[in-house]
Amino acid sequence: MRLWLAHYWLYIKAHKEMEEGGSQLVLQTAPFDARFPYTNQTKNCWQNFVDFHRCSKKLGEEHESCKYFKRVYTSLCPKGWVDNWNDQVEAGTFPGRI
Amino acid sequence: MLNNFFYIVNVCGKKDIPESWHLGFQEAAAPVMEEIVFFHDQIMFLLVIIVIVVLWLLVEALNGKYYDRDLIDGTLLEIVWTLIPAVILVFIASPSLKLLYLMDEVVSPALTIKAIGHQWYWSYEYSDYQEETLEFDSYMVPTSDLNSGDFRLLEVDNRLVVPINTHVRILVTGADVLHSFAVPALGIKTDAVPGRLNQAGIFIKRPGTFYGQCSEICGANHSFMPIVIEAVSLDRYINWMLSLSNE
Repeated sequence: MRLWLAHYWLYIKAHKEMEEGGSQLVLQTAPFDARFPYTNQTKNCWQNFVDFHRCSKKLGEEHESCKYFKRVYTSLCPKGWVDNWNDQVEAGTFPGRI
Repeated sequence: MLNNFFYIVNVCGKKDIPESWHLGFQEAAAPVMEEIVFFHDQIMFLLVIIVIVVLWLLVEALNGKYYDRDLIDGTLLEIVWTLIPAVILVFIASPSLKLLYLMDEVVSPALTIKAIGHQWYWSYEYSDYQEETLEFDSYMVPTSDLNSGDFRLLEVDNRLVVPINTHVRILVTGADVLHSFAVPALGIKTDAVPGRLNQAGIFIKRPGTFYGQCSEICGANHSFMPIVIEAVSLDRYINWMLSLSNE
């Protein structure tokens, strides 16, 4: 526990230094998701991809919630998978329920 | 003579690269690897005690000094020789389980990197920042192209750049067959399975260059797809990322 607290402190310190330096790059990535706590993250990537498409169907791609799903699946899914799924969505052969 | 001395010092000393007759671990660069080394040392301590006690008992038994022709069973003796190994096993199992769950932990990461195993090279993707994913392939440098001081079969053309003191999530998958993403100094070894994303967390404590190799037999050139991680400060990482984004 103490070990991880020490690391967390280092992490916060590094981020603070970066913020003070006025960096143009914001370090952010898909956060921990309690639905997918295991080593296997395949479903995490898939679910966020499907959620993005459901969301954009309902609210439009530019909606803030949909942008979040897109950011998460872009961070998690390999580009090859996303390209393949996008082709399937376009062709109407995507196996997920959108 | 002096050369031999330095060779022995090198072999026994810890470092970030594997060498011939390198019997110990590489220098730990991540907390998980430090814990693995502690665990190994603890087990070695128990192992030495067990070996000495067993050898002593064997020698005593063969000596025949304590021979007792009337001894048929001994309840107390049996309880003792059952309980002692059980307690020793508990002392091994409990830190082992602690370590197992520690290795599974991915503390809220600041960065996600995807490592994809191909026959026979690794490709990496950074897709946290911009619309376009930054992706590149990492091939081994053939022996004929090595510079002086390079490590044969370990150098690659494009290294994976990772910031230090940052929680990083590595997602590993395979594009064709099974591979395994392993870097001993960081204490990670994750199977790259086609169609599945495996997650591993790393936290590098110091700058350096860390070498690893594919650790799942994946075909003819399995031995020739090394992994090189360049750990740099967060500033340098950001500058590197910005310079690539501006290109």
